[in-house]
Amino acid sequence: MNPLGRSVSFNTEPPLQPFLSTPPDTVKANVLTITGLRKSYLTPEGTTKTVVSIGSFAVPEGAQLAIKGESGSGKTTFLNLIAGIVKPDSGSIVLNGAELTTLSESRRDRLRATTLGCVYQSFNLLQGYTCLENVLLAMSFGAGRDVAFATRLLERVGLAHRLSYYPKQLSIGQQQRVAVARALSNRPKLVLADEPTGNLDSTNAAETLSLLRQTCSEQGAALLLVSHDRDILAQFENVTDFKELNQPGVSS
Amino acid sequence: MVVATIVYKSLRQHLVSTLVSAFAIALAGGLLMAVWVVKQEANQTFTGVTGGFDAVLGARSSKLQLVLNAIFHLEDSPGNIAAADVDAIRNNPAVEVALPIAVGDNYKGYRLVGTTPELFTRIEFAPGSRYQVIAPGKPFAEGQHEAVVGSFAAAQLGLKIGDTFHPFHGLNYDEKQQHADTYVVTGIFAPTNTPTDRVIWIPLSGIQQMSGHDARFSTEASAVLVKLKAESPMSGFQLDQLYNKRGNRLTFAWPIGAILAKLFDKIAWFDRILALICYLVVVVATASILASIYNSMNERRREIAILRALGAQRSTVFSAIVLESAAIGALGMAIGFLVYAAIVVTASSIIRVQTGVVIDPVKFNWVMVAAPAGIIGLAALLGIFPAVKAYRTDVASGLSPVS
Repeated sequence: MNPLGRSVSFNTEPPLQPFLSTPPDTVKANVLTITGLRKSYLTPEGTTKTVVSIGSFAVPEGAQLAIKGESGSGKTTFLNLIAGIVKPDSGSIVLNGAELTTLSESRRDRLRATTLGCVYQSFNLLQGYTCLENVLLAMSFGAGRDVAFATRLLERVGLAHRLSYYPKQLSIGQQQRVAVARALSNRPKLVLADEPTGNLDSTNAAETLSLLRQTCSEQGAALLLVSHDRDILAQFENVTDFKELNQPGVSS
Repeated sequence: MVVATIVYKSLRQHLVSTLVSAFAIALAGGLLMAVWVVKQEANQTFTGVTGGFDAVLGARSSKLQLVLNAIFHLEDSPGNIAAADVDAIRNNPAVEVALPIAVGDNYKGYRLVGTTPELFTRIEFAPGSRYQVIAPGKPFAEGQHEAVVGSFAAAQLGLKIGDTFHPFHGLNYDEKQQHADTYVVTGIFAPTNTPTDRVIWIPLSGIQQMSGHDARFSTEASAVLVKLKAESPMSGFQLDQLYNKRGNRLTFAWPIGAILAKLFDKIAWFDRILALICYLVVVVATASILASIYNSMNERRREIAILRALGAQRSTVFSAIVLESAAIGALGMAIGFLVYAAIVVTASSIIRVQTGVVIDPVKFNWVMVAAPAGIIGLAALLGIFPAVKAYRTDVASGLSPVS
């Protein structure tokens, strides 16, 4: 309700500055740093099942990383942890300089709105809102409504003539492009994409992926994409296998 | 601001259930306000109708019957009073005006009331308001077959100045009972919004000497309308003692307003039951909002999860649901005023046709603020139940892909 500017700091601690001695334009700081992250669930049988256990992981500012992960491997939980939707049992997640694990839920909500953009497999557009309204609504939780910027983003993803269309009136490829525009609407530092092409045919998938990568780099946002699709993963220079990253059997 | 957008969108998305709930609220709220206003206005207006008189003197009967017959022109006359009794009250030093009336005839269901021309010159039916005959009409002359018609009766009967008619015998219209006498309309009264609007006024002698009436009663009156002198405040009490306590032939109905108020007191239990029914209807209608929102919570789960993923706080989705419930209540009450207007206009026209008393349907009544406030508040309160569900929505599971 009270959109915060991007300049608002969510943590009184200074941002992590691991590369203070080096000039910032040669070595970039991390937008996301994860250490000793662990998340377990209680199973119906009463035992504890560890789903995520990651020793260390980082995304540098503006980087584009892919994670190869099968469904059920805990990758969605991993992304939800980064988004602050799920709270970890232990470990540290530093997002844009803020230690997520010590923030209250409402501060995590605000941090998510202002720092992150998310693209989902099932788009998750609001059906009662037009393309433009979907983007504007996301803005009103984050940087504030900016019709000009929202329109520019939608134009950028090729939907200039569809601003007042409802999601149902769009093809699935177009719907995912609205989601891409929405993810970038608050000028995020990091975009999380969870199987963004999982519901698209190969042509739409390739187009959407390249659009997502281009717009992220244009907007200066890092991209962390999770997929099990080989064709998609092949586009990335930097691919991490989630099986190697996540060691739920190993105590961290 | 965001909450307002979310509420507006949700109302539109669930348009049918929004409208059904709002309509239920409109009917219930409109009914509640109408019952309240009609009850209060009728009570106030009827106890205020005195025709400018303090008391009615008539044959021994109930005071209520006398007032209804002589002031409201509704009930039967309990009987006649002798000319000597009329003279006695006229000559009483405490009495300012004593207006004898005679009833017993009608014209197509509208009563003929015989009285003296003092009606035109000495009676104020409300402070500062005398009966006005609309120009170019003139009052009836004593002893003539002339009539001045109340505005409502004239409009209903289509009577104009110069028209003639033959009265019918009795207080109820029976076309076989027509008198031979011919009356000429000499004037129409300007509307007074009192029962006299439904009456055709003729000279006292007209009723007394109507063809076919028993000549033995030709000097008697049905009742005497009494206005007491303002400077003798105890006179009403003294006349009450004289006629009601010591005498046993006549009844002195005084004060007129209190007699009607007593009647309303006696039927107050009925008002209370009616009000109780209205409250229950309102609760049922408001609960329908709760039911419709609560039932849609499953389909809303995903949308709420998306809102939360975009950065909406728990408190935002909570207040959006509470506000949505309140908004349906508010929308309902906006339509409810139309329902209210329809009921009150209908009710007041029925009351007018039946009694000649006009109650003001647009007069401000505090229930017009209290009922919407109460219903919107109740809707918001009941909205808390689904809102708690929204508050607790699990974002992670709500976002999971749909296949």
